[in-house]
Amino acid sequence: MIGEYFTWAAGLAKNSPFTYAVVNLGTMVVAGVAIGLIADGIFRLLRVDLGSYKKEFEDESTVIKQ
Amino acid sequence: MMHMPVSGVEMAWWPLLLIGFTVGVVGGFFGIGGAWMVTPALNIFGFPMIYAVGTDMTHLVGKSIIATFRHWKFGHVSVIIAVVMLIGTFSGIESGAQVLLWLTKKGIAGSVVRYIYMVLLASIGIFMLSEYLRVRKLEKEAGKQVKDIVGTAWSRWIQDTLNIWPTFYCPVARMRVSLWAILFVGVVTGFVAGILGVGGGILRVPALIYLMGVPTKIAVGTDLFEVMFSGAYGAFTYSLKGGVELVAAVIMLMGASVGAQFGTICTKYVYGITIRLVFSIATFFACASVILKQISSRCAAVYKKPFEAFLAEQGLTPAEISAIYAKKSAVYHYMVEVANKPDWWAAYTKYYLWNQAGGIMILTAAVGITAYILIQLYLGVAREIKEKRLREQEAAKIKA
Repeated sequence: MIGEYFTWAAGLAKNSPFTYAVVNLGTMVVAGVAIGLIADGIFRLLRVDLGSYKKEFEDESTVIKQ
Repeated sequence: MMHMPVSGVEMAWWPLLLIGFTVGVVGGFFGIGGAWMVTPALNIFGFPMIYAVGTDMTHLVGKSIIATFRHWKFGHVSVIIAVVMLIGTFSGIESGAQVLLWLTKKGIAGSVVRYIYMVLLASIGIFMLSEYLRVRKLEKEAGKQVKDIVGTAWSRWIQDTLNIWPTFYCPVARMRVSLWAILFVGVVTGFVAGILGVGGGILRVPALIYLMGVPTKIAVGTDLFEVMFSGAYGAFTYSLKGGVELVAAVIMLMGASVGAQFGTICTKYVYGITIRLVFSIATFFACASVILKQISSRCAAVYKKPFEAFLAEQGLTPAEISAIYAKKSAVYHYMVEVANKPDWWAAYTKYYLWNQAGGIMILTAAVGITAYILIQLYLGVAREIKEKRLREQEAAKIKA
């Protein structure tokens, strides 16, 4: 099924470049968002805390301000 | 081996996965797109050059979404700075592209662009490295650890000179800034990126640090936010020209999605000043690759124009000529067997070798930087787990 999708998309590259561009962009956005959310879900399941943390620039004693 | 339906070439899938992973780690760590790494790396593994840039741009869209999401969770993304800068960047890119067009008409675009790029990359690298060494010296003298530097004389000058309404406070970067200052920096970096014909992440991160006075990690996350949009623009335009191999982009994204997590998470465990050091090393490698590209272009000057004119005389279309360049054996056939020009073939071979040398160097550098980032990540996670255990043990003792 995935193979058919790519063959269909490759056909668009020749016949309808605009649709091909939209399909490419759409594929990447959907894949990017899905993978980002899945990765976040995995971290939550593994109870790995990757929330915000205290950054070094918030500690003024270790930062040079110019 | 996999069949690439758009280009029609057969290629193994694992190099694409590995390149994606490597550029994912490096890009997530630095906040850049990393086209300067991907394009030569793809070329080394036999991916057709005419599809390399577009395919890289396309996978970049997905990768930057993943990396930006993680940086945003860390609190590294200043959306307001990114959005305003994006407007400046796009207008700057358009103006820069016009200058590039003018240079192309004059026939001097290639060399001029490469010399500007070399000077810029070398200057950024030297400046960042000297700054890192200065900080280390200062640490030894004062006996106090320095984890980052915020602001420069330039950023102060820009903030003071362009301190015009509307100004706003950016809580992520902890600074008050004028809209005009951000637009100015966006236009300048966009203009340079437009002339150079690059995405500009390698220029924008230093610009955010040195011209805007943004902390290093915020510069990394904020630039990745911009890369999402510049990548999308590039992917769209290259797709319109049919220069994108979607299968390859998806495979690269699979590798990059894992790599980007590693690279981004590592920024939590290293200090801003360390990111600057590794960034400066990366710019030196990028500069070296441009130098090699310049050398190879001198070889290309010997055969390119007459060879293409000869092929056009034979009735070949520009698309067919591009297809010939994709296969070395086809180039040999037309140069030596059809045109009977062994000197063209000799120049082409030199061009090919210099290009390969550049690709191998960049690939080695990318692998080295990736290894360094992964080691830093491992050490950081191990340190965090150890500290957590110690805290738990102490808490248990107090309870007992």
